[in-house]
Amino acid sequence: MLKYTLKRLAALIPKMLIISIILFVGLDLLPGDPLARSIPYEQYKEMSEAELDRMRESLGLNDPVHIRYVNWITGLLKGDLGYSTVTKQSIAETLSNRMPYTMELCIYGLIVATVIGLVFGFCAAVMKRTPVDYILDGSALAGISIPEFFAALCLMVVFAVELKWFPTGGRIDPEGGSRIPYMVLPIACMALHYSATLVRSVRTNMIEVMDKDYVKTARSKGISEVVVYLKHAFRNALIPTMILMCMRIPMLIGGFVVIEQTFSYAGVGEIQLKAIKYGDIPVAMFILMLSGVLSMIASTLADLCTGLLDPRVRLE
Amino acid sequence: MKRALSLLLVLMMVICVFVGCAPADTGSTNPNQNVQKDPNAGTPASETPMYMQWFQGGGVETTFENPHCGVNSLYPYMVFEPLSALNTKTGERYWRVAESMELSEDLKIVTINVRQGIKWHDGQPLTVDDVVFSIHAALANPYSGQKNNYDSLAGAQAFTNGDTDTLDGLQVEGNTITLTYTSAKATLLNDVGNLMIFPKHCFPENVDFAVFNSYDYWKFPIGCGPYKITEAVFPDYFKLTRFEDYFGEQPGIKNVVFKYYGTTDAGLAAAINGEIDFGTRQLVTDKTVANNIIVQNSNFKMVQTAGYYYRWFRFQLDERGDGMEKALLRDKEVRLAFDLIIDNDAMASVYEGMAEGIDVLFSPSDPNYPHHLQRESQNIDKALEILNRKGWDFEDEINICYYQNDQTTHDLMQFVKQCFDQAGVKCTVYCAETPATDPTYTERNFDLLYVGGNAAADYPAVQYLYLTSYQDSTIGAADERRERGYDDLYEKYESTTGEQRIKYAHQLMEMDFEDCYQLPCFTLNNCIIYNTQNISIPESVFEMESTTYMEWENWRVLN
Repeated sequence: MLKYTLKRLAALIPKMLIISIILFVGLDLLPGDPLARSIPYEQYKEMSEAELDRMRESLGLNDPVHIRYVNWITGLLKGDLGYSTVTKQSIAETLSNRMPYTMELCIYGLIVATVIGLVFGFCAAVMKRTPVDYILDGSALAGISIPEFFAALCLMVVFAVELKWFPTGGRIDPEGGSRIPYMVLPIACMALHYSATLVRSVRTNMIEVMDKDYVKTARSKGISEVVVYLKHAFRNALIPTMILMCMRIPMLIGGFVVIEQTFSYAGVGEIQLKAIKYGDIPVAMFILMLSGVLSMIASTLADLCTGLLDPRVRLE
Repeated sequence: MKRALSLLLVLMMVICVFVGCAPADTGSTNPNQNVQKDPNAGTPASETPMYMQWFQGGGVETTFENPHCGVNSLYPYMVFEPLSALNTKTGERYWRVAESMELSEDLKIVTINVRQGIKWHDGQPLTVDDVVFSIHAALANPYSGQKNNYDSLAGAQAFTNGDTDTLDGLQVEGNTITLTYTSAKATLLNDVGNLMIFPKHCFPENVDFAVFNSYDYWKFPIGCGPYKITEAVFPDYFKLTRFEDYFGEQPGIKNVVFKYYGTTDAGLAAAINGEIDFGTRQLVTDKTVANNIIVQNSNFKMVQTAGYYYRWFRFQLDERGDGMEKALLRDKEVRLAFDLIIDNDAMASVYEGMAEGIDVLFSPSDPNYPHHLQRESQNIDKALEILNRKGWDFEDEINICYYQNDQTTHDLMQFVKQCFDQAGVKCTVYCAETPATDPTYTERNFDLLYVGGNAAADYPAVQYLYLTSYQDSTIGAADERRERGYDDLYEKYESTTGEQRIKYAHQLMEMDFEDCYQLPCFTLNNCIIYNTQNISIPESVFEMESTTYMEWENWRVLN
């Protein structure tokens, strides 16, 4: 298992390098003068070519692309994330203001969604082809089908504008009140979508496992139904579900672009969208790189979990 | 089995309680419901804050915006003070940091007498050095939007190049600063008067203006205005409280909270929910938006304020980035035909009384409006006659670009497309939502650009927007315009005052009307909303289009 783990981890390094090169070159190829993205257009057009060139030189934009890439990647490795070209502010500082909030939202959201998804998925499988199953499965299907932005707007209109139970947006109460009200709607919106996916996954896997020979054997040995469901069926049905859960880890950084945007929750997802919209390349590049790295780690983690739970994977 | 189910149920209950509970907190979710109401509400002593939207051009991240580089919310007018402010309706000038300012007869020398006894929010006295420092910052900061006001000072070039540490055109004697310009300009008092003053002592001794906006000062700026910042949590909110040692009259509202809403839609939802008390153009783009808010929250009132804000088309007469320029657009008769195709009055009517169709870029309500310059709002037959005569290829497609990303403008551009369709001229309308990154915009791959802008305030409003747009490079054809004598006339306009200035402006407008380099559409009033249940604002504030003097002393928080 150790050899398998080391092998998987070592494979990450070239993958990360390839991702960084694709990202850097891809964003570098964007049309237009990069300097035009860093200063207001009205000012840009007023500046003389000499002034523009001086500014390009100071920002290192006159260097060839490979030099800029090396500067960027060595900067990253040293912990120097650079500055936003739009706000002129430190990227590290900007992200440190946002990342904890996004991670907090994601962790709570994942916990709520996972618990709901596992419990309801389990219930739907156990009560297969009963009204409870139909209701849970139908709701899950609806949860997957409704776009996040629409669900977010519906929640906002009902619970914030009409009932006034929660604020429409933000993440901190200026009066020093609890932060929970600011988190409820974004978490509910996230849980709605993610738990629906889990319900469907757990239900399908459980039903599949229930037909396996080892479950039939367990039943024939006279083991109680509860033990059969929980120990033999549910545990084995969790393997594909675990992979699904691991693959959600990148959300901890990338956040939920739509949800954060709709609820004005100042997190990483919101700034990622803004960076792309305003052509803030250093910010967009770093967040995309981080998301890419985290996706690879999640994928590796899923592989390792699968290997841990299913020895056949390691042998193959 | 029972134990397992019980554990499961308990777990579910805990999760549900965690997520949706805290009934005591949910009651406090709306800040306007949560705040402690002062029994003496309506008096200046009320502790109840006024809530406003925190909006910054580049986004709210870790620093406040530098007002020299652009103003997107009202915070700079609360925290900082300019040298002087102008009531654009009456022409009355309010002296702030400057005790008085004078412009010499040759319109080249400005003398500023700095007021004594002003204190910064940290208790330090404001000195002449602070004013000099602020002028240096406005000139040398590469991101400053006020450079144009100082770059014709004697020695400005050497200073910005870093060749000298001092400005030849800036002399200090006691509390008097003298600015000497190399060319005459009638609007110098306004240009210089608008300058917001920063405290020199809050910056390093050897300040580097190239990175001026990145100094820690901008994390928690100190000003000398009526309000001081007491708390700033990026990017969520900041709080202001009135500055007890303010040199002017104390503001009527003691506390103000600016809250961040990432998008306009989020801001509108917050307004409907009563979380914002006051909204300007950044929030309420037009009357339709304001009415939507009022329908859903009747506590809001909409006020239209006069504004020299215009919308118009500019022709792109330089080469297009994609090489698809239309040579015939260089013919002024063809441009006139385009003007006859677009129905200005119909476009203005979309704004339900807030806009008025125009033929020159000037406010029709101004007494100096040149009423003799009038053109038919739309005449397709005449336009077609011109286009046929000039040999316009009706298979050729023109590209119209715009950047105002609001529904009304999207609708308007579709209407313009219909006008062109009606004339049989093929046309594509395209929204460059973020101009800085849009190749259509940056590479000038358009034939017509739909733009909007404010005229600088200068009573009696003779700072014709038309002139500033003339200098803009969008139009191109600089040689052609120079030959026509625009530059000479503009120079004369800039260096005269009074009736003569108006005369030159009229001549310039007549030339532009004839040449059709730009097609004026309409003038648009500003729209402001405020929550009448929570705050009261003096009517006189709405009579000015300039926001540099907001009469904070007359604002009140109500119950």
